[in-house]
Amino acid sequence: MTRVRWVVTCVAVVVIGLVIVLAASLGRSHDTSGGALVKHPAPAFSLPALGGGKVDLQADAGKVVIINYWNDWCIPCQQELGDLQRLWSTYRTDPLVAYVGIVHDVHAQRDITDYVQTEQITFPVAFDPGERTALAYGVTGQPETFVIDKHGVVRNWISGPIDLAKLESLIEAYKASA
Amino acid sequence: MAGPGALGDFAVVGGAVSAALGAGTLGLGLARRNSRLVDAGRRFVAPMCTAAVLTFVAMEWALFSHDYAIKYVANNVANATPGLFTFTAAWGALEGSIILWVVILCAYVAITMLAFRRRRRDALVSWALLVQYLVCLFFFALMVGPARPFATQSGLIPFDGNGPNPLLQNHPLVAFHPPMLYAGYVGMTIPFSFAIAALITGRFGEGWLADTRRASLIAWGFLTVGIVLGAWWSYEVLGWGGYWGWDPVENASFLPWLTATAFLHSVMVQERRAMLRVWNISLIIATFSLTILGTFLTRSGVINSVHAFSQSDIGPWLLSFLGVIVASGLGLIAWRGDRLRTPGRIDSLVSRESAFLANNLLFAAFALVVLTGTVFPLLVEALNNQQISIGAPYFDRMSLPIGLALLFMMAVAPVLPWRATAGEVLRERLQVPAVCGVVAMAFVVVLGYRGLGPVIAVGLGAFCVAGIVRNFAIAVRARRRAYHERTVPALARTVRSNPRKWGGLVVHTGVVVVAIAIAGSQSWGTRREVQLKKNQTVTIAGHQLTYLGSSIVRSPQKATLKVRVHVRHGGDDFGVYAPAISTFPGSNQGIGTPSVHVGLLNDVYLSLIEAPDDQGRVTLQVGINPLMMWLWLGGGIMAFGTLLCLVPAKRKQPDAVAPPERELATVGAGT
Repeated sequence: MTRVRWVVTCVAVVVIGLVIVLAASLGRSHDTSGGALVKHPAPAFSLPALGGGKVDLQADAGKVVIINYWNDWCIPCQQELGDLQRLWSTYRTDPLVAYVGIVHDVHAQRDITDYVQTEQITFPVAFDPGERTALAYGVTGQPETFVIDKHGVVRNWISGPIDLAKLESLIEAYKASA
Repeated sequence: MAGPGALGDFAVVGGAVSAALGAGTLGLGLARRNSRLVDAGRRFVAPMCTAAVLTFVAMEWALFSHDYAIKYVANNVANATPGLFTFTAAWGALEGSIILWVVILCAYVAITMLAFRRRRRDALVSWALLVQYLVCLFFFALMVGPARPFATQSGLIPFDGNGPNPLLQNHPLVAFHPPMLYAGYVGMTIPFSFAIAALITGRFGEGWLADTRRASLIAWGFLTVGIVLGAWWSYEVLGWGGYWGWDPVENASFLPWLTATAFLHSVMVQERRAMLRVWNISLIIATFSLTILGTFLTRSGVINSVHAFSQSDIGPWLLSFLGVIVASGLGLIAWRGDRLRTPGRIDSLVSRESAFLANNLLFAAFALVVLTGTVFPLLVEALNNQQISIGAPYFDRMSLPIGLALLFMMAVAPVLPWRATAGEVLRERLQVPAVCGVVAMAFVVVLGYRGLGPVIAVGLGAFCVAGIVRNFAIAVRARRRAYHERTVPALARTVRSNPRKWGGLVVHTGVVVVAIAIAGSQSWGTRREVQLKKNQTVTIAGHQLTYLGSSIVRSPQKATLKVRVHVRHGGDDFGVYAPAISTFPGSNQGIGTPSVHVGLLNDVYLSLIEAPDDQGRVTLQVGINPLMMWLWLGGGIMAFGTLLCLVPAKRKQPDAVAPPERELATVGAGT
């Protein structure tokens, strides 16, 4: 074998190895966002609620739980606010469904209080002062919504505003499942 | 009624068919040595380029007419998106970016065809065109198949779209950075196609290098400007305080730059001494392959990056294409075997060709270091199913010694003559620049700057620039004496007599400025996170910052929370700066916009981390970043030098007297 061919063979072996590694990486999830939690148990939390008291995920065991991370200064959150309020109105008396809106950045608690009053929000709001819960859920922005089934497993992660009809159909499906 | 979607689909298919017919006819003509078929094959360039332009026009039409029946439009513009960002949305997502790629590629093909119109039956040119057709066919096929830009919505047509990715509608630089980078990436197709043609035709002498010298330089220039603009965008728009994060996609643009830079230097050895033929062909194949690797990394979803497009189906296509390119290149080199090698040998270790070889090995080592760091996490994941991340410390540690060695080579190589150098000549040429280097190091130390890496970088930079100035001064003096010219005309005519050489040295000066700016900004800066109440002042590295208050500005496009900060330094009032966070409809990301006081020696960089809390306190990241302006200026000098290299040399006057130090010729030495 000539010197050039010998070198080419060596390079070819390295390149084939590289292509195999890249091919193996295709289709793998490299997700470090909230999407990585889907099909995994929802991280537990117990957070201070607006107006006093605590919001505890364990207290809602056996229910379909909707968790929405939001903030008053984020436009998409404002856009989906009406839908979330309607969702809450639909399910507030349903024993199989729970809802919590979590404000996770160190943003003004007082501003949120004012905002909730101005916008006549009645759904439960909790604060995540150290952002530990947001970190556990892989939240990187607002709004992000997680749907947790009756077994405490995250079934859906919605980044950005929700689609109310779709979310309701998901809730109904998880309620009906064993 | 026919709309932009129908026009776009028609143009994409038309382009693919033209490229396929062009490749088929030309291939057949070349195989049968039938010049009529070769001529016929060439004629498909015009319809293919027209189709590419029409595809782009159709996309712009769809975007500006808010044709939300087209998925791409619905996902990438909104009614409130300003005109500029509606225009740039054409390349803001995967499918559109392929359109831009194809438009630029077709422009290169058309210009190349025009440039070689007098050699249209030359086998080398025809084989190169065949390769270009095949590359075009691949990208048109992507748009016909997995990355269809004009695919329509399956359900109801929305009244409003999602708008561009927030990062792509926050700064006008989006109109320049991606096209520049693409012009660099795509331009590498031309020298690659000629290298393949040279291998096929057996004309792997110096002809194909001369034919593609300008194309290689233009592509390299665009790639350089694209990378520098990317760093500027990162600094001015992303707001994390830096300009280069060794992000896999940044690395993907840097890798072909490294190999292309090595190529631009090593071609001179082949032009002058007919050596390094295999190396040059391998380098340009590697450069083109690395551009495809970069495209794969950005678009396949295998990595997380601020640059990455959403996961798509084109990963396997690009990987297969990469495999075909590498296999064809290596296969052809193996086929030609040792016939590619030249009998030329390096006569002395202290010679221009040795220095270029050393510089090439350093560039190759740099590329290997960056490639290893970029793909190693994927390797570990494939073998161990573990996700690891290789961050800046690895790249910084590895790149510092290579960078310093390259600076040293840049200072020494241009003064070395070809073949061999006498020690005395070397001493004479290096003595003054070396003294300048030492004085520069002493100067920065006396000024109070510390750190081995940056101080050596300053010394080597001064060594290099002093060498260039000395080289230029000698050439101008020789010209003045020979032609009895005054100084200013002599300066201009010296440059005009060999723009490639002097342009190359201007690029070197730009690299020195960039290198010192990088070393200084990395080592001598201050970065702190501060929490401030209204009217509270903090002092950081002698700069007083006072938080004045905040405000929210709402527009249909976005809502922006701005905080106002008064910046002063000693008795100088720098004014009020307003770092901000914006949110956009249809997105859940808060996009930070830093505010920067640009100074000759230091930038004051303010980035809003947290909005005012319930006690009215804001959290700011403050950076006192030295020499940043010089980084951008250095990029500009490099771009200017590249332009200078492209100016045709003025023919020598018949009675020209050779300047005494002709052997000082450097980058342009092959002319």
